[in-house]
Amino acid sequence: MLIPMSEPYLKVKKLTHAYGRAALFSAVTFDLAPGFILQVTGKNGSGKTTLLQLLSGIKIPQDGSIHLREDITCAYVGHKNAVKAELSPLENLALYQPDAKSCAQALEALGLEKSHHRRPCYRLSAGQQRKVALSRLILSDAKVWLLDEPFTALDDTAKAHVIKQLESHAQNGGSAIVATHERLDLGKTILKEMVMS
Amino acid sequence: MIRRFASPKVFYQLAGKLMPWCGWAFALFGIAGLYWGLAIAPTDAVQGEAYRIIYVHVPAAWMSMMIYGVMTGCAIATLVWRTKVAEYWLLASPVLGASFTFLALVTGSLWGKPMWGTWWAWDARLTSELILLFIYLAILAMKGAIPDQRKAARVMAMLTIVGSVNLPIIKFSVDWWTTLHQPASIFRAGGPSIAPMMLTALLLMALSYTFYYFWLVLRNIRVLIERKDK
Amino acid sequence: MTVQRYFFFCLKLLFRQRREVALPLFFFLMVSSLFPLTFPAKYLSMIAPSALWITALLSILLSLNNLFREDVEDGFLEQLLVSPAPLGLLVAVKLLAHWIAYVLPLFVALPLLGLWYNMPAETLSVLALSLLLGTPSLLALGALAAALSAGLKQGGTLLMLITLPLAIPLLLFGLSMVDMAVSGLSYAAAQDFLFAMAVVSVSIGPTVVAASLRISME
Repeated sequence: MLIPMSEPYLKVKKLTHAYGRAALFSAVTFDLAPGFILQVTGKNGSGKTTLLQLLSGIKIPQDGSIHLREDITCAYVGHKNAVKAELSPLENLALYQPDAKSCAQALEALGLEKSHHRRPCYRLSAGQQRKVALSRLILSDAKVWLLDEPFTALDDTAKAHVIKQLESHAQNGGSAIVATHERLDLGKTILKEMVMS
Repeated sequence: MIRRFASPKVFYQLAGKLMPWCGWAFALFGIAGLYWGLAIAPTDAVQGEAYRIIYVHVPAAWMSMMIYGVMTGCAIATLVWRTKVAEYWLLASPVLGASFTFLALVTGSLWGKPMWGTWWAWDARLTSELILLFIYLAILAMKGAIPDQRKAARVMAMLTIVGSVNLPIIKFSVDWWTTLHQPASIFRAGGPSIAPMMLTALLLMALSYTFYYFWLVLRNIRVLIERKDK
Repeated sequence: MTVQRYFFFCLKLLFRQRREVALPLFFFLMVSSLFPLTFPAKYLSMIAPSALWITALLSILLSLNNLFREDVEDGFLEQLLVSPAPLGLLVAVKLLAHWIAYVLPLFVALPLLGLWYNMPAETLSVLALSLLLGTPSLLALGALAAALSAGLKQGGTLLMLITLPLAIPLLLFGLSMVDMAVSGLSYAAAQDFLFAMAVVSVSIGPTVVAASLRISME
C-alpha cells in the first residue's frame, strides 16, 4: 500500500485521559506532519508527561484514538534516562546499535567527550547521563521523537547540541513532540505550540 | 440489555432495589436451613449430633469457591471489556470470599475436634481451603497496595485469573500429596451417604449464604459507586 | 533493540552487578545450614528435601525482588514497553538471564548441601532434577507477581504473598519426586507433572508477565 510522503505521522483524535478522579485532558486532537516540531507547554501536572506516555504506547488512552502511520516508529525519552549505571555509555547504546563507531559519533554529537564513553555511567554527572539517553534518538531510525523535558540537567552548550539535532532531524523529514518550557530556536524548522491546561 | 446494566448508574438503581430482597431471602433461608439442619435432619449414625456443624461448614466451603468463580468472571470482563461494574464487583468480592473461606476453615476445625480429637489436620480438603484463603489474602493485599481503583481492579483481575487456573492444580497436587502421606480422608461430607433431609438443609443454607453474599456485595458496590461520584 | 541483544545486555548487566546477585545465594547457604545445625541428626534425612526446596523457593523469591524494580526506577521499563520488539520475548530472555544468574548457582551449591545434610548422591540428584524441572515454573509465577507489584511500596512482601500459595503444587510435586525416589518407587508421574508445568510456564508465562507489566504501568 502506497503511503503518500506527506501523510501525517501521527493522528490524534479526541484523546481523553484521567488520573484517578481528575480528568487530565479531554478531546485532544491534532495531526503531526513530517518535518514539524510540536512544543507542548503547560503547568506542572497538566498532563504533558501522560500525553507523551500515551503517544509512545506506554499507557493506553481511556478514550480517543492515536493512529501512527504504519511505516513509522517512535523514539521516546522520558523524565528518566533509562540508562544502566553499571554499564558505560557505549555499552548502554550497544543495545540499540551494535556498531560502536556510530554510538561514539552520537555521543559526541551531543557533546559527551570520548574520555567518558567507556566509563560506567555512575561515574557520570546527571547532565552527562542525560546526553547518553538523548543519543538514543540519533541512533534510532524513528521518524517521530517524543521528548519529555529533554533539557533537564543540561547546560547551554548541551542544549544547543540537542536543538541542533532536532533541526537536522526535522530537515530529514522527522518530527518531534517536545514537552518543555525552554525556548526552542529552531531556525527554519516549523514549530507549533500546544498549551495544556 | 446487559450493556445497560454495565453502566454504574443503572446498576446502582438496580442494586438498591434488589438489596432488601436479598437481605430478606438470606434471613428466611437461613432460619429455614438452620431449623432443618438442627431440628429436622436425622442424627448421623456414625458421628452423632456434633456433625451438625457441617450445615454451616459445607455451604461456606461451597461459597468460598463460588465467589472465586464469580470473581473470575468479573476479572475476565474487567480485562477484556473494561466493564466498570465488573471492576466494582471484583473490588467488592474478595473480602466476602475470604470471610466464607475463613468460616469454612474454622467450622471445619470445630468439626475435626470431636471427630479426631485435634483442632487441625492436613487433610486434602482443609489444606486446599487454607491455600484458597491465602490466595484471597494475596488479592486483598494487592488491592490495599494500589491507590488507583481502576488499576487495582485490573491487577486483581490478572491475579484472580492466574489463581483460577492454578486452583485445580493446587487441589490436585494437595490430593496427590495427601494420598502419599496420609490415610484416606476421613473428612467426608456428612457420613457414608448424604440423606435427602441433610441435603435439603445444606441447600437451604447454601441459598441463604448466596443471598447474604449478594446482599453485601451489592451494598459494597453501591458504596464504591457513591465514593467515585463525590 | 533486538531480543537477542537484550538477552546479552541482561547477562552483562547481571555480571556487573554480581555482588548483589550473589546475595540470594548466600541467603540460600545460610538458611540451609540452619536446619542441620538445629535439628537432631536422626531427623535430618527426613526433613532434608523439604528444607532444601523451601529454602531454594525463598531464595528465588528474594532474587525476584530485583527483577523489575530497577527497571521501573531508572525508566528502562518504559523503553521495553516502547520497543517494537515483542514484550513477551523480551521478558522471556530477561527471565532466562535471571535463571542463569540466580538459579544456576544454587545447583552449584547443592553438593555442599548434600554434605551438610548427609544426603546420599542418588537422593541429591533426584532433588536437583526436581529443582531443575520446577524452577522455570517458579520463576514464571514469581515474575508474574513481580510484574503486578512492580513499583509498589512493599512490593517485595507482596511478591512473596502472591507467589507462595501458587507455588505449592511445584513444591509438592518436587518433594514427592524425592520421596518416591527414597522409597525406591518410580517418580515418573510427579516428574511428568513438573515437566508439563515447566513447558506451559515457559511457553505462555512470558506473555502473561508482559500483559501484567502493561497493566501495572497504566
